[in-house]
Amino acid sequence: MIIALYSEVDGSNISSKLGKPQYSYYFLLKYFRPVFEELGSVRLIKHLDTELQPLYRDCQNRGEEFLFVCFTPPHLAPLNIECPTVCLFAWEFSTIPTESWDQNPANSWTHVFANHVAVIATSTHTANVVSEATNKQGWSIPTLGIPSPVWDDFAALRQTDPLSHLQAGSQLAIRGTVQDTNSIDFDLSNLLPRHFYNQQHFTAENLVTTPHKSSLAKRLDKAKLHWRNFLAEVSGSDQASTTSKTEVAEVQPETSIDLNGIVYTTILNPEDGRKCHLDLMTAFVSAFKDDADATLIMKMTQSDADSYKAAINHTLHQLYPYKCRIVVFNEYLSLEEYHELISASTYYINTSYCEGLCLPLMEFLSSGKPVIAPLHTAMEDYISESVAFVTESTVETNVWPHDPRGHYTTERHRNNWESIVEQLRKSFDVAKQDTGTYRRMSEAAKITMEEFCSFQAVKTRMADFFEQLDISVNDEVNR
Amino acid sequence: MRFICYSAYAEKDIGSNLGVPEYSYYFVLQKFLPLLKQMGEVILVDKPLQQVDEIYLQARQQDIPCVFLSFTAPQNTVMGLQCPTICVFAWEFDSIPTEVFESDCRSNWLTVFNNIAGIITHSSFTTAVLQQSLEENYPMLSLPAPVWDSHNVLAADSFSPATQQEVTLQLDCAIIDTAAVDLQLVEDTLYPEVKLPYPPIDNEQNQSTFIGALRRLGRGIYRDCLSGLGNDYLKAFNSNPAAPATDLLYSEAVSTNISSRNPKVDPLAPVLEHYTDSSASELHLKGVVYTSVLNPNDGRKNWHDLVCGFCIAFKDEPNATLVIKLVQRDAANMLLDLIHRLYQLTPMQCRVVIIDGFLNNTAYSQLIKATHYVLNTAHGEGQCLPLMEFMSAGKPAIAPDHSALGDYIDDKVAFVIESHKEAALFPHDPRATYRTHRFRINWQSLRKALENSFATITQQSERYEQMAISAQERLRNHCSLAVSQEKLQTFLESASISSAINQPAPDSLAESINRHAELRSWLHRCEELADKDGWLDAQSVFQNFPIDSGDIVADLGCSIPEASEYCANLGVHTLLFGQDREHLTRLVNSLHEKQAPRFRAYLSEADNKLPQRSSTIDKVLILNLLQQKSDPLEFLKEATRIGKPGCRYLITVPYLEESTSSELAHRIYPTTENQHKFSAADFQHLVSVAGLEIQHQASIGLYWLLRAMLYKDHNNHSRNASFETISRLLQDKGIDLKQESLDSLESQAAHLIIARKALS
Repeated sequence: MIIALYSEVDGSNISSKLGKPQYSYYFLLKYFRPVFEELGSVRLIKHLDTELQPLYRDCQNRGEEFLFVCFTPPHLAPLNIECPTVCLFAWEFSTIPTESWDQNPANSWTHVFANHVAVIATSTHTANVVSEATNKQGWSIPTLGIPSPVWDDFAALRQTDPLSHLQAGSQLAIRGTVQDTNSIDFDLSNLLPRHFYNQQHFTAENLVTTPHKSSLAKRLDKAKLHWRNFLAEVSGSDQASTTSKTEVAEVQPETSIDLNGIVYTTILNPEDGRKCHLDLMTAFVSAFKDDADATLIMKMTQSDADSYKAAINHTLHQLYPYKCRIVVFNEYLSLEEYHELISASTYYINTSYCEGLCLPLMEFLSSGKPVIAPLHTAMEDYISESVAFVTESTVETNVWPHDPRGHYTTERHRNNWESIVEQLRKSFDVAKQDTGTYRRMSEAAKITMEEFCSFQAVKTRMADFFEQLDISVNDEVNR
Repeated sequence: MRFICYSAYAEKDIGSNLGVPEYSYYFVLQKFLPLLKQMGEVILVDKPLQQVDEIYLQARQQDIPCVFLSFTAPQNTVMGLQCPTICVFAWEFDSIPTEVFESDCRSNWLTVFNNIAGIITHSSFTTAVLQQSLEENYPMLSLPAPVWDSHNVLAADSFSPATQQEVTLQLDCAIIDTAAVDLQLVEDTLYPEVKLPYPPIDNEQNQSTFIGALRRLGRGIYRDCLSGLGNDYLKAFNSNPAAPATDLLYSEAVSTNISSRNPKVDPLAPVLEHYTDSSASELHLKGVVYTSVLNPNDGRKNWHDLVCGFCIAFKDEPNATLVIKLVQRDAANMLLDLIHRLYQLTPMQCRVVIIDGFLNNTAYSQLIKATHYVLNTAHGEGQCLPLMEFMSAGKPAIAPDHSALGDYIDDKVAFVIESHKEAALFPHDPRATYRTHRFRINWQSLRKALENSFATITQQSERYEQMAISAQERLRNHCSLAVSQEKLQTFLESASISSAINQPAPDSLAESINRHAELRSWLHRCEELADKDGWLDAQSVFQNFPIDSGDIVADLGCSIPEASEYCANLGVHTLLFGQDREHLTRLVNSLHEKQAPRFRAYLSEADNKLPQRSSTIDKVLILNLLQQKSDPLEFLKEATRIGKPGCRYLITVPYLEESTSSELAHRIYPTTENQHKFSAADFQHLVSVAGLEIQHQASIGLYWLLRAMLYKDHNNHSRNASFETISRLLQDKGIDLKQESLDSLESQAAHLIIARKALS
């Protein structure tokens, strides 16, 4: 069987795409590719319009089974293609779009799925949401909720003592823009009220005309990128990716930080409101106002630090005074650096309104680090009291993020802020005084994640699912 | 007993100030008057520092016990009066400010409390919070506004719900009614571009590489660069046409939810006009009516949860109606937001009616009678008058049971909405630091409570009746006149309060009151002169210097903040430039507090540069600034650069010639700040050389400098107090008014020039 895989972003420009929506689909593809390689012969599609159809025709002619796995949100998946297609995507809301807008039929996901042979979502929650939507319309499609197989990559970390960092403390080398409350000289008179623009370094000439210039500039940058891609394509050269490679090459100076005590880590894009980092920061400081022994590391998956730096700094000031420490940085981590970060952490913490999967949460759990997280959406698949300090949440109405009309059509989960504070305190006490419980949670996390997202588990479930699918091409050719 | 009572807004101001931060104190005072009048004589004052002690002295001379009830937030309460002062205030947070910010000692409430005789607040929640910070026996009373008697008369004879009957309300203000408008209009207005056909995604197999690449280019550019561009532009345009370069990011969650929409340029503005039916005199209500009375500019009221919760809960229920009665000065901002929100909630069967305007007693009573449930989703309440009023009339509630609501909300009288604490700011802390908690509504439970309430009234009318009866009984115990009188009586008779109000007035009081009278007449003369010169009157900043509604005004230096405030409050675009962070911050806070609609402040270190593009300003104010500039001519040229052709300039410099007899001016201007002393001729020359045409030149009096000095030396931004504070300041500076010539008030305080930038 030939399995064709496609995502919009490929590895060559990933660093500059940090924090962009397509970015997570690149990772999905990267993680799932070995699974598909076990089930068939994988072909990576770079240019959808030109490569897919010939490949499929070729298979048909040879009578070989063919499946196209498209790593995009359903509305960006190609419509009206002949080959058996599966969309593999992450989604975190309680409903999916079943209506179209912008006169684009693809905005109705059920319309898209009607042309597909199956639907693969990264969580049981979303697989169920899709089934509910099609059932409501009186038809059904095979659906599978399955996580990326991340468990195996963290074998080395599972061998180490999850609390080793508590004895000696640890040193972490980080790059990029670093904000560390231990080195901020807090002066609350620096907090400027609303309506205030601090213009200490201006020249009359470089003033811009609108505050949203940045948004326009971003659009312009994107236009340039498309133009470069276009040039590269028609001239056959590889100019576009060369440019991105130089961007990657700019390595920021390294900073080394010493970490002591209980370390909480979170990895998020501050521009993604769903991550709700304000709840996280306020609850953390509220829980550890007087504990110099508690540190929160916020690794931002946002390459442009200017887009969040001021706001984060503002929040750090608004919360002052406190003894706990918050360290914020943003540079892309190599695998080795990422492992160091995990080793140096006691817990991972998530306070999202909703999750389609949450890779870092799974990765920390797979490394044997217990977590603080709510129990909803994708996290229902792997979060429980035995591996996590579960925070409470309840539903609230919400919009689909890509719906330009902003209709309230779906739901997400509102945090119970008090319970985040409580669970933080509890987790702190456990790590400090009840290491037995901590270790039990750590072991439980390893086992849970093995069952949930080890390569073997994912492969088996995927293979079982493929068996149900009707993707043989022989009939069609014979006809 | 004599009660002297004060609230920051008096009757005459309240119509236009509905919804400003201190407005609710006025209403609370009104609700207390019947009770106070039962217990003694009430004297209302509007200038406490001047009036209270005089009234107190008279009362004590006749041996009448006398107390001053200040219906103000603690940080706005006058300290240092001889008359025993009790601060009457509402508070909904779980801690109180105990640190000094903005160098005003009153921002630490403990300072205030230790300088007054006692506290009356409106809930046991608040007294418990206060007790954590105050000593055990501090005189303190929880006394809700006594609204029961006047509203219980509205209770129906029978509480059985009459949901099938149509009720008609006579109103004479604007309403927005989803039953009468088509929300699709919003989509047509906001998203004309979504109507564009989306470029089709096709994969014809015979496409040449070039065509394919071209299509991808087109599609990519459309998706990433063009779609939504119109919206972005509108947003950019709405937020501020006058160009700040860097924006400090403020999270939605921490700001106090002042809407940033600008009714003048918002694309929805014409839609709003279309929706608002100001001629509506009758409102017909049928089915189950839920009512909420709120100030939408007050983020604590959380109207967003309320509207979303209601419209989602009753998406398919045509028999549910939500009436929102707005309490707000200028609701246009909020209405734009609300209409947008309602559109986002479509399609829905339920009905939402917004009443935007003042309701007289009859209309308000009609509304209460027509209501089946009163609805509240606030993050915190100090007492919540509307909820108490509706419940007194036997209307069960849907409300959380946090903060003050805990005193009267439970599941016998209400469908209780769950809530939990979250980090919060003190609303008056200009630094917006996290110091306290408020309550986050559990939205799921709000929705559930609404659904349950509807099921109850339609299917279990007996239970509804029982809740209605319990509600009015509960509120009788909570806030009837009889209960309140007993509580207040006991409080006033308590040892510490009683001894304070019965002790003799000090001998020195009479003398100091006489002195006040002199100051008053002197300062009264200041006001007269200000009026004569047209200083900040209805039409102009100064005579012959009017501000037009479309103007962009720049105040350079903001030395006389009243001028900036005046412009900002007119609603014109006001840009404030300055080098003194503290001074500018104070001004910004003051404007923010007064909800001035369109202003921006720019702090810059450069002495002779302004962060503003050329030819963009209509009116420029340069008041008492040039004398401090290292290079006044350079600065004036820079100021000329930013003006549009024909831009008008109001420029003053202090009258500091050696020959002048105006010793007062010398004393007022700290000599260190004055690098330059200008004669009238110097001044005139300077302005001409900078390239401005001089239109008018004069010498003006001391009155406005006094205001400038006041602002510089003192942190009290409240206009009411300014008059009083001047007199204090003069005393502090050792200026004896009797020795000063009144001449200095009339002229010889500043040179003034009105000039114009050439048209071409």
